[in-house]
Amino acid sequence: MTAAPADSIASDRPAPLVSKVGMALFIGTEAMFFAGLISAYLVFRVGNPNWPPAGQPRLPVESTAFNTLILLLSAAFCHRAVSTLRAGLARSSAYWLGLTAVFGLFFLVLQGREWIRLVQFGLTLTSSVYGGLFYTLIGVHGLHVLAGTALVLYVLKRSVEGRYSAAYPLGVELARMYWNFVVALWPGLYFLVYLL
Amino acid sequence: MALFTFVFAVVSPAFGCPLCFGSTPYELGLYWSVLFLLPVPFVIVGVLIAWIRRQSDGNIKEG
Repeated sequence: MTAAPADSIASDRPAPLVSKVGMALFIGTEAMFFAGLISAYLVFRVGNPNWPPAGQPRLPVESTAFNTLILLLSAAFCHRAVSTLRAGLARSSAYWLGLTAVFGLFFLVLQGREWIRLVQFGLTLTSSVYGGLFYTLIGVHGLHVLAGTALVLYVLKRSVEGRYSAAYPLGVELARMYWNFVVALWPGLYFLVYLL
Repeated sequence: MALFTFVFAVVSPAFGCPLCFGSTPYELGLYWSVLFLLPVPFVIVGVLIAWIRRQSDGNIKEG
């Protein structure tokens, strides 16, 4: 059995621009999905002068602001993972990817903790339109963070296996594109749901 | 003349989106959500085109 020549391995790899355009289109559909959810939220938010409705708990603004910072930091780490990989520092890139995943998980844990407290205070999916909208909008974003963290961990595993290099950083770049989208969405959602 | 009088004087104003021009909070909510959703597809497609152009320019420079 002979080893496959290097040229054939290279040709098996997906073309970077095509893959990135595919990811960009996917992110475009995701943005449209979130725009629909935000639009639904606006109907009820603007339509109810008393918001949050009487008897419903107030949302944890300060702790979520800290959580926002965590998510923004994770995006900076992900950016660093790509820049170090492009500079030829694959091990350093894996380290930054790991840090991105840890901060993503940290965000999810803090969000989960706040949700448990809100449920204890009586805010559930069926308690009111307020609860339904909150858990749908923030929950769907949380699912995206979970998916993004899983993607970063998958890319980290492949990075440790030595599948990415300065000449071929595609997987890490795609993960960064998705992660940037998920992170960029959050400050807008935070402002809309927690501050407005 | 009779038709003119009928159209402009008798028939009450008809709006393309009657809810959007209301003044109750619920109607205002619909108004703002419509206003928010209207530019979204254009913004997404615009950003996508700008990004693809930037990427392809970078590829040409590298190539």
